[in-house]
Amino acid sequence: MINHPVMNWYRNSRIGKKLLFINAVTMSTAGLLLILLIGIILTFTERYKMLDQVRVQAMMNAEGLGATLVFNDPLAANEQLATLKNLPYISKADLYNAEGKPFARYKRNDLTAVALPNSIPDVNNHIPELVDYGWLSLRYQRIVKARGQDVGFLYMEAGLELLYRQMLYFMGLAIVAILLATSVSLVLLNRLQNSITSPLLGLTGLMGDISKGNDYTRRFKLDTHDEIGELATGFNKMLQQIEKRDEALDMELQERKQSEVRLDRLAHYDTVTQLPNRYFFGRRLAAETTEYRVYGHEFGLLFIDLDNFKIINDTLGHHVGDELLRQISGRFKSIVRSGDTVARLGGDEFGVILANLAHPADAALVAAKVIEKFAIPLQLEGHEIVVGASIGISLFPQDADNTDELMKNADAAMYHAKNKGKNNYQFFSEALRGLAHHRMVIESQLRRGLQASELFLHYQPQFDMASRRILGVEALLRWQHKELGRINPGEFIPVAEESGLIVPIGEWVFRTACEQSKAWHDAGLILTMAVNLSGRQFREENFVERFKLILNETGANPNWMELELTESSLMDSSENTLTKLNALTSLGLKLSIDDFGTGYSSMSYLKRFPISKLKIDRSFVTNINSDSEDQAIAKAIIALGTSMEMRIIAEGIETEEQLSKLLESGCHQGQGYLISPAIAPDEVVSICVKYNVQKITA
Amino acid sequence: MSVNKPLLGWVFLGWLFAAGSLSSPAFADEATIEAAFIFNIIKYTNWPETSLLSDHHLLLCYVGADSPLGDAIDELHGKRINTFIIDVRKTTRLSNLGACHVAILGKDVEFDAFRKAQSPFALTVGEGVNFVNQGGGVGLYRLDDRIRFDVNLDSTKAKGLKISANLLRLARNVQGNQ
Repeated sequence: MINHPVMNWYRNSRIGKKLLFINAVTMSTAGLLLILLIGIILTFTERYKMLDQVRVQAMMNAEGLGATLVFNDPLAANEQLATLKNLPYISKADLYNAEGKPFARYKRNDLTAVALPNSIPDVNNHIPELVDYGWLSLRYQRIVKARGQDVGFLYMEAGLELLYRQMLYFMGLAIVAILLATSVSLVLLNRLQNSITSPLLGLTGLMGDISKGNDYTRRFKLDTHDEIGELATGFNKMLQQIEKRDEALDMELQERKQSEVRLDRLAHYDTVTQLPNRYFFGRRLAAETTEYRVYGHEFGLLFIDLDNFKIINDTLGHHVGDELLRQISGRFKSIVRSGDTVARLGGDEFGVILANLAHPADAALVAAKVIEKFAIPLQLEGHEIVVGASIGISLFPQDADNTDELMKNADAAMYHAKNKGKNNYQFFSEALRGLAHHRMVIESQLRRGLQASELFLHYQPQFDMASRRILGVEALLRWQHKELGRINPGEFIPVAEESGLIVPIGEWVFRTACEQSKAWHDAGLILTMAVNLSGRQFREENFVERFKLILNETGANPNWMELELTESSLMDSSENTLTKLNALTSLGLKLSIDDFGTGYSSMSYLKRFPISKLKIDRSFVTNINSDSEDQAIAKAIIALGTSMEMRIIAEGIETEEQLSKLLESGCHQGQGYLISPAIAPDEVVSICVKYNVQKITA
Repeated sequence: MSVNKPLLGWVFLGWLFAAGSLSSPAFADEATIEAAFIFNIIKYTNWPETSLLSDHHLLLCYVGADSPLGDAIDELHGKRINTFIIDVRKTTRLSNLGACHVAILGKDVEFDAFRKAQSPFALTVGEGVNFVNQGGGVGLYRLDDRIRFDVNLDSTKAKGLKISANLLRLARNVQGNQ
């Protein structure tokens, strides 16, 4: 690229100007070349013509001059030469006699004439004529004859200056004419080229408008069929394509936005209750901590767990459970302020953020209001249901300095509330922090302990109260920590339940109990072996198959094995429960219900399920002698079980009075410290010997 | 020989002009110049076909007593001019002029008598300004130290003579219609 100002101007010019420029340059160049050529040709021909004229003049004058020479009449010769003044191009004419001496002279008296060098003719060269064809002048010399005799020379000069001047004049005129013609044709061209440039300008203008406004519906109207017409048609087609794609893109974008909104909704909201979900709740919490850092607004977190929701869900069905959740959501919303956030964190857990909390007592007020509202029964498909709520409260920044910790603390407080008998609220405290920490330690140690065989079983004898003979044992889990020593089952079993560790531990317990049972049987000690089954275990999909496998592997006799289930685990998904229970009994296992009388019991399941034994909860046994109500319940349970042909066993028997009262009420089996606590396997053998266990010899 | 011809002419002309230029102020040479003039005038004059001789002689006659002109004319004898060979004849008797092509009249001869005696085609040449006025063909005379001549066309035409325009142009006076 040449960076000449003219080239820059040209590059930046419009097509119209470029065309004009091109035309002006070509026309004037062609014109000037033409003029130059014509000038050169004319100059040459004129020179030849001039030479001819000079020659003719010389010939015409030669004869007369010859006479003047022979008559020695220079005046006449001069006069004759003077007639040459009518021919302006002849600048000089000299007549020489035969000796080469000047005889007559003519010199054009022209002031503007260029002074030519004085040329001396070649007098000794007797050739008839001599031509010197110069650029500035033409020189001609010829012999002058008088009646055939050479009498002298005529020398003539023709200056070309005049010719040149004429040529210049002519060319100047021609250039003016060319320029005039060029400018006239440029004016015409300017008019005519509008038919080409104006559509182009229109196209570029439209392009500019479209790129500014993004309006692809516009089209360029042009009805010529030349290349510009084709360009316009192509442009319009392109616009049509763009418009189509634009529309398609718009539609796609809209669809995408809608699906994004849907996804966003799914990502941030719970589909059942339309409340924010755990993810959204976490973000709100983070936003609140930011607000605290900026404005100093403290806030509180309520962690709410519905009591016994699982039972309702399982007994009345999922749709009832969902409706329950929706109604509860409505209750939450009616309690909290507009700036607060209520979210469903999962299952039956809810979270509430109490924004801009002025005082911790306000959080307690809200929690109390929740519990108060929950006391009002819900109407669900004709059922009147009361759902309790256990609420944990933690405050920011008082209890935690980050959201994770805040959540954990509220959770710990909620568990504390549950432990305190459900349907109440508890603030998080430093003690709970220790508790939470303790639970964490226990969980990790328990995991390790299971691998390190720190767990073992003790067996509490079950006996016939009348004969005091040992009938069987209940396997009870014990943990001997390598550093902490014996850890209370009440301490680690709930942790195992919560963490899910109860499933592998439960299997280990069952396997160990089976092995022990087999060992005793092989040794001739025939005792029933009762093993506790956690609800969590019972809900495991392949639990029946696992137990069958264990039975096969250990070779224990299932008929002497007994599984103790809690009432709540039996409440779960009735059909599935029945299937599982039947599967267990078909293996030959016996089923009993532990802690009977404490849960929400629907008596109907006793009839449907293959239960062979009820175990009266120790709370009724403890006060059976002093509390008439407990005694009545115990009696009712005994009557119920007896009428349904189930065996009844009482646990927690510590005194002879309790034993005799139970016997009196019709309960025949018992378990308790009165006879024996849970003991090691070899102790079982010795106690059996002590109580005269019936020995079956092989 | 054709090569030498112009050379001879040049030599003669050289002499002619050398004499002319050198002798123009001197009277002695006036006759020589006049003779040269006559020689040149002959060049520019055409005689009728009928007058021409088969031997190409051109008769140049001088009538009168001896004079410088008469002497000078002798020099022309035998000279070639155009296609002619000059044949100079001198006489004192007018009766001898019958066949002359050029008749030169000496100063001592009466013009009237001379007119009657001359040939029907002779170019008459005489000296003095009045020669032409009296009816002579070509009159030579001296003016401003130069030899000049007049021509009487009536006279020459009457004789059937044709005088070249180039000659007429150099004449000082031309009488009669051209």
